[in-house]
Amino acid sequence: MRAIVPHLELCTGCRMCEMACSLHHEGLVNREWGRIRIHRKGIEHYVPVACNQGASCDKECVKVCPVDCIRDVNGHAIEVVREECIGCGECVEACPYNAIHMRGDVAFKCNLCDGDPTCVKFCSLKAITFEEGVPEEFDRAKDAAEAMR
Amino acid sequence: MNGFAGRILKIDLTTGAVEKSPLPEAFIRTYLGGTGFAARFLYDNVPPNADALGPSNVLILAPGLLNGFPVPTGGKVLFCAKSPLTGTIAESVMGARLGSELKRAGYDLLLVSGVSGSPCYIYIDDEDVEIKDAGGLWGKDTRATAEDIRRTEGDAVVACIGIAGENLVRYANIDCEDRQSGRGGLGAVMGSKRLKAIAVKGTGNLRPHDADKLMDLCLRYTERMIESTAFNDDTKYGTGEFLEWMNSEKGTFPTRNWREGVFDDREKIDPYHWAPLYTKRNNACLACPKPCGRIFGIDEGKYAGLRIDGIEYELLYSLGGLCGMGDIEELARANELCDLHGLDGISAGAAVAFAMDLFQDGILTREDTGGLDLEFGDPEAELKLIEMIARREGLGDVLAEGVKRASERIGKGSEDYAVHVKGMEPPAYDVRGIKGMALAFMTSSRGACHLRSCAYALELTGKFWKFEGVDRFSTKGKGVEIKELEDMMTVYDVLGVCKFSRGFFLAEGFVDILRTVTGLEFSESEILGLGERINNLKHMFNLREGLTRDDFRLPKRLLTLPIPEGVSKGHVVTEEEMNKMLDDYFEARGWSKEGLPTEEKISGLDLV
Ligand code: SF4
Ligand code: SF4
Ligand code: SF4
Repeated sequence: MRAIVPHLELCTGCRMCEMACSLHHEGLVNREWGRIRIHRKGIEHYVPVACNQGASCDKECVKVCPVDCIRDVNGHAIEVVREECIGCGECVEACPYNAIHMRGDVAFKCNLCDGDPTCVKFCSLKAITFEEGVPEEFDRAKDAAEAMR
Repeated sequence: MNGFAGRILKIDLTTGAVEKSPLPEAFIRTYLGGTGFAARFLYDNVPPNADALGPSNVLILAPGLLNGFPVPTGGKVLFCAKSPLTGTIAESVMGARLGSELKRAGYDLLLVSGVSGSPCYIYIDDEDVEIKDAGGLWGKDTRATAEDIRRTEGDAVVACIGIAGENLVRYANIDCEDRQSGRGGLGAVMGSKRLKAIAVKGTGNLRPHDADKLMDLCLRYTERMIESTAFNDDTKYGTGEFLEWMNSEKGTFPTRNWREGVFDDREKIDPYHWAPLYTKRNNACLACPKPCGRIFGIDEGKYAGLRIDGIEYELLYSLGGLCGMGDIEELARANELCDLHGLDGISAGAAVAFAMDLFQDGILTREDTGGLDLEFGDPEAELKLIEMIARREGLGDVLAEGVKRASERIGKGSEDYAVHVKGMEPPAYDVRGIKGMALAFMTSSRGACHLRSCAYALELTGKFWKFEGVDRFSTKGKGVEIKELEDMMTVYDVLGVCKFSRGFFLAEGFVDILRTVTGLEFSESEILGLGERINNLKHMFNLREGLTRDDFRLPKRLLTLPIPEGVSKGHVVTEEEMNKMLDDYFEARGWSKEGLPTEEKISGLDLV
């Protein structure tokens, strides 16, 4: 499955992806509504993190959801069916990539914008691309983001 | 109203009082945001002739209206106060996340007044606003300060001062995530309030009037920027991209304290030479798809491990050519010192160059310099002097006052070596060969400045916006030109859009963006009228501070010493040319010969 693949050295920290993602999905801007997030440390490091759609994980979020509301709805991406989400937060705990989030009492994650990712269009230096990712790419981002905490 | 947080936050450091008040709608329409809000609040809250470093000056933080939205390059925020360097309004814009964070915390403007009894920092977390003890942070550099605060406050965006601000260096700046509110001494204002830092965390939503249309517009402009010819040069070489052109084709790169207009060692500081060797990655301002910001890193030698954002064109001039210094690693170190201590690198470099020039002519001797040989081109002397300025040691204490005051202190004819307008050391444009820019230096409300008008772009290429066939050596039509450009560029500072995108939006583009973000209908001419209103307001502030026509003069060196070599050889601004351009400008502004706006003008602009 294709996903949002991070290229760490290229990310400029402009945060267009975060803002655009939130604007596209929620009609407002709020980093906490971004399905993609930029982590920063010091002067030299930015790391974009979004869901890898199972390219590098065992879809832990899907496995732990007690009401099975996280699933592949249209063949593009694993998504949270909002109406069914009970807000338990299990998926957030389970995701090893920190790529699924809660706001209020609903979980949300990247759904690849129905196959036409908004964030990628806003990423001028191609620090994120929409393609078949290899696990190492996601893992590097994950390790880098964790090292920042 | 959509696009705004809707409230103003006032903090009095003397009493500790915190006040949140609604932003009146009529006020929004008249001033819109950014520099508009800031100028009005400064005018209304600072009593005439207040001591810039005393309790009655205020420090204003004003996000541009578009902060937080993905409008490309719309992430600019500014600090504003009465300047300790020029005595005029000071405002300085930076591309940091501070603005969007403040809006998301729920405030369109922060106004800090009074003076704290002991070092403190302001912490804003949505509704929670606190004045906290900064005793342990006093004396720390900007990076260590921000890191310490983030350790306590988590993911806050931190703006802070270094020791230069603490020591009231009149051109100390404010740092936020390696972006600086650089010019006019705003860091000294913070220092005078014993305010080490401002940390902001915001979690609120920013809601545009029409999300779908805004999305379309943002994407369209982003794509346009990616496809533009500027994209490659900006992202690869940064602002220094045109350094060689300024030297060889225009002959207008101020060198050795404005003795020359071409730098012989320019190749060594040209980014086409050093960028491939030292650039680690791009580092964007908030919302910028074509980042000129890049991380410069040194991996070996005595500066191994050095990392800065830069080196910007302006500092290649001030810390490089102006001091006759052509070693890029030493230049990077000078840049780093300025960043860590919180010094405006333009003024700091200019102060060093001024001292070197005096040393060369024997006006300063080793006795004055504490044994330092202040030779042009000597990196050791330069670095040492920057350190002395930040710490206000010896000669550094004198230079920390800026070249105007320093020359008054030194005397012995040193005034003739002090290059400034209204007390501000100029940026990297040798205006003897760019007449419109000479006028722009003269008229800028904050002292010699390239960004109030951005006239260099038009002057050097002959073409921009509605202007064509402009001759940089001629004084013809410059009054109207600078007035119009100032009004337009002020709109960029209202909205918080980068002036390096000036060619993409213009008044025309802002009509749609304003509508989709706020729902407000502004015509093109209303948008430009807003810029005019704000510029008149800034001017009224300056007049109230006692500015007269004399304060619009160029310094003696630019009026008497022609550029000696290069393409612009022989050019100088004569007294007559200076006066003619100024007359034309005042006329274009609808001001008297003495620069006083008529009653009519003021009421016509809704400024009473
Ligand atoms: S848009 Fe691209 S460069 Fe900008 S923050 Fe996102 S991933 Fe990084
Ligand atoms: S949210 Fe996390 S666990 Fe679920 S598919 Fe994405 S990366 Fe895997
Ligand atoms: S693909 Fe869409 S949903 Fe996923 S991170 Fe990008 S913008 Fe957000």
